[in-house]
Amino acid sequence: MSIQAQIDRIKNNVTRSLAKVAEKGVTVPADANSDDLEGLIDAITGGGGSLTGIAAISSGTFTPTADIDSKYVINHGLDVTPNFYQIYALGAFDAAENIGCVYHCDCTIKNFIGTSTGATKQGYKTYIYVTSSGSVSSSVGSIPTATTYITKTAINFVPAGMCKLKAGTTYVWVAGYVDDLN
Amino acid sequence: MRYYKKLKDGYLLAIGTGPGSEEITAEEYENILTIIRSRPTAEAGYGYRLKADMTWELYEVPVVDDSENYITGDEFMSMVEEAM
Repeated sequence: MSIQAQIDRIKNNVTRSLAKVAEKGVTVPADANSDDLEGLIDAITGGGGSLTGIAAISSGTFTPTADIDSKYVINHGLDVTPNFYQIYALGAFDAAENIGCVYHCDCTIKNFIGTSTGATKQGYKTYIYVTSSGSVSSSVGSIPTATTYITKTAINFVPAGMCKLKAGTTYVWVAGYVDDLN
Repeated sequence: MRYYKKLKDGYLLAIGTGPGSEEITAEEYENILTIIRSRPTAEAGYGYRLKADMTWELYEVPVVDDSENYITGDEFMSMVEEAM
C-alpha cells in the first residue's frame, strides 16, 4: 500500500470517527481533526445508540412487590434532567384500573416526536398529564392521578387518589435528554 | 444488564433493571420475581407486602377518599393554562 493510500486510510478513519461522535449528540466543529478526538469523546454523555439528536438516554424496569400508593423513586442515572420520559406497564389491564402510566416530552425533534405530554391507552388505562417547569401533574377530565417530579437523578412518581403502581406488574421506563433540533 | 432491589424500612419495595438501588445478581432477581408472582391473594381491604426476609406480611390497605381530588374539565384546563 502506498504512503498516500495509508494517509487516506487514516484520514477516512478520523472522518468516520468524528461522524460517529456527532451521532452521539456532540457538536463537532467543521475543522475538527484527530487532535480533537479525545476531547470530543469525553463530551459524549449518553451510553450510545444511533438515534440522531439523543444526547443521553437511559431505560429500565421495576416490579413492585406490593401496591405502591406513595412516592416511588426511579433512578435514571443520566446526571441531567430528562426532557422526555415514559413509564408504561407490561400486560393488559382492566380499563378502570389507574396504574400510573405516563409519557412526557418537553422537546422537539424533527421527524421523531413533537412536544407533548399525556397518555395513551393501549390495553391499559393511563391519563393526560400537563407539564410545568420539569414537573408533571395529571388528570383526565375529573380523574385525579399522580404528580411526577423529574430531577438530574430521578423520576419521582407520586400517585394520588386511586392511582397506584400495581403489585407484580412490571413497568418499563425510558428517559432521556435531547437538544431541540427544529 | 444490571439488576437491583429496592428496600425501604425492612420491606422490599421492588426489583428492577437499570441504574440505582442495591445491585443483585440475575439469579437473585429471578428468585425474587418468582416470589412476587406467587404473592398471596388478600381479602378486600387488605394486601400483602414483602419483607426483606422474603416473607409476606398481611396489612390493611388505607382507605382512599377520592372525592375531594376530582376536578372538572374546566378546572383541568385552568391548571394547564396556569402551568403554561
